[in-house]
Amino acid sequence: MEYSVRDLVRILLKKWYIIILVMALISAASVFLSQRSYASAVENYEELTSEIVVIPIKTGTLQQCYQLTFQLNPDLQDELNQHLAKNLVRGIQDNTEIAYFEDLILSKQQQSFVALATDPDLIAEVQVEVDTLSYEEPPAVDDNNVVTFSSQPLSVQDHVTATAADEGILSLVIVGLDEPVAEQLASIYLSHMTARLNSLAAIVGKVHQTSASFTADPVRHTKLAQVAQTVMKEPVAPPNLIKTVGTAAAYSFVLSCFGVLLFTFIRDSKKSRKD
Amino acid sequence: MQLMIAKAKNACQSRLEPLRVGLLWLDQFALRHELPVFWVLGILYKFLLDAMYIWVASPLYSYAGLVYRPNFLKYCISTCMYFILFALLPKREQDTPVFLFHLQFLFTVAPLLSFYALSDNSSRYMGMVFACILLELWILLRPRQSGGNISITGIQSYATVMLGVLVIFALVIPLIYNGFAGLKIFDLAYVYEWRANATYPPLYGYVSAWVYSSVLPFGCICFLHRKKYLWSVVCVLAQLLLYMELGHKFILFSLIPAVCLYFLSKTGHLLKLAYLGFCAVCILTLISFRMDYPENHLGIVLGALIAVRSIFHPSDNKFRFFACFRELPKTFFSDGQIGHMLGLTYPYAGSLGQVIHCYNGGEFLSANLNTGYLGDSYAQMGFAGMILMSLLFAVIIRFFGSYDSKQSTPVLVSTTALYILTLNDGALFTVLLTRGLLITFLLIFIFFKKNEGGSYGI
Repeated sequence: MEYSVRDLVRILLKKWYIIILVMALISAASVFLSQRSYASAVENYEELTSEIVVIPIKTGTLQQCYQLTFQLNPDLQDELNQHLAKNLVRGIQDNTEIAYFEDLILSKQQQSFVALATDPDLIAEVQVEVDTLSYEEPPAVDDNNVVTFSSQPLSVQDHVTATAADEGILSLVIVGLDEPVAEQLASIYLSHMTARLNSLAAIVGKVHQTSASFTADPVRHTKLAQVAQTVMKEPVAPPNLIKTVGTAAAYSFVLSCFGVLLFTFIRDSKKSRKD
Repeated sequence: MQLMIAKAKNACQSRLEPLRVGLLWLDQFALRHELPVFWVLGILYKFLLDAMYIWVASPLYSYAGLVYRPNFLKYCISTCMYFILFALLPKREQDTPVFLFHLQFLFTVAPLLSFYALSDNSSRYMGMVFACILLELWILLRPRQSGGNISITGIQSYATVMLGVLVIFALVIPLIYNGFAGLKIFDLAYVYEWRANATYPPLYGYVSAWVYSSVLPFGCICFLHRKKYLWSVVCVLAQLLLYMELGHKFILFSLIPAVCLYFLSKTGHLLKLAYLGFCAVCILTLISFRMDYPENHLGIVLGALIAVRSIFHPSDNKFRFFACFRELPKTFFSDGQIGHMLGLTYPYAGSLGQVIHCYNGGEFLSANLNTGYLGDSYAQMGFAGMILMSLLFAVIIRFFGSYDSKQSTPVLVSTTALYILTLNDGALFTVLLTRGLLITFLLIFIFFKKNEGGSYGI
């Protein structure tokens, strides 16, 4: 089929109503499609970027602080009083010396207390008691966001960190466990520590909890959500309808001219084949 | 003097006579045993591709995705797919659509099949690609109806002048904006620095791409065909000048395959030569890479350029596109002109290639993974998008067949073959609009005319 430029223009001018119709249809479609596309983009963005890994147990970090006060063991107090009586007989000044010995013992106790907080034997004792309760390690999440349940017994040293300061302040931090288990573990640890301290010269007079808090672990997003947060763009504003219709009209003018010419070519070539 | 010239001519002819006899014998042999020759080359290419992946591409690039994880069942499936498609493809010479489909098969589909089996990749995606290629073959194999070709008359001279002005415009603008780099631009390392600092006016990217992808190659081949060698040389020089101003390696090298294809298609054995050429490239790459590896730098360069960058890396990217956009939302053409036309919201903060790079663990916006139309169409609309683009591709390729004739086929093949290679790395709409395939259509409508016998010529 041979066409001159004039033929092409004539074809387009003859079918002006089809061009206008197609422009109108595409412009109308663009209004609907642009809004639908925007809504879909917002929905996809919100859904994908907030996808989290569902873990059945809510783990977190338990932080507790205790104030321990030490007092002299009553048996040791009797011994010191007897010593005082002997020294009185010998004529030695007693009160200062008693106070000196008391301070020395309490000071040693403080040092033992600080050392005990990092003593592996204490952790081992706590582990023995925890084992009798049959606690298991919490579920883990791998790189593919698959939650795997562990049948391994709970390992105390992986979760408990204790620090003791000279003034009898004990800080306990327990990570990666749910709140009830963490509190139980803290209680067991404290009881074992006070028992060990009580077996020394001075004893633990009072244990006063000064602070306690449990902070849940942050929600873990899936790997896909992390990627989506990086690569996806939050749709800011819905499309401007006037601009959308205008752009669609301009593009569809070219498209409809092309469509009219293509339709004419196909129709003419079918006619020429029949002839 | 004339006697001397005649003597020299006779001497040359007598020297070349054995060569001429040999080529004639080969020609007759290829004509008599056409089908067996095709099958031997097809089988050889399949196994050479596998060997190139195992012994060149994977050792070079396994850290970045070309892993060697052969799966026996998938290998059997991919081999069956390869031979089914090869058996269905018509093996006709002097047929532009058939040649272009074979080119896609050689450059895109066969590497995909090898990669799928040797890296244990997604069977679902491979199945979808196979279905799309079968659809394309169905359209190709439908009987062609004669008549009904389009030709726009009366504007050849005006079009020639307009195209000349367009070429001059494309050559002048970069000089004004960026100056002239001179011979330094042939330093392939300096080229990146030049391109990073170059600026251009709006829409110049389209104009320059149309000129170097469509107008100049079409002009060069047409002038060559009409034996107007001076104008052909002018087109080559214009292309060279454009490379020196823009610095894109594609511009420098694109005329070479076009001219080679033009001359090879005149032999009447272009398809067989294409298979032979691809086999030879595989063998050359294999041998040069494995010789004295890893000290052989030339072998490594060839391996990286041919086996990795040209052949298997695009296959890898297609599977990556599939893996990513199975999970992330499809774009429904919102990133291109269709999206602008309909006011669609593009959901990503970077291009599709940048999204893929991040999805695979890379830093967002730092690199761009290109893929061909089979990967891009999945990202746009899933399997439906792949079917749509395959249909459109098949219709476009089949359309060229209506202009085939003994005279016009060499021109058609040489001006359209590069688009098939580009479609291994770019989307179909990008190749149509940005890379100038639509412009090539227009040039065919204007410059191809019907001869007295009813066939088409230039």
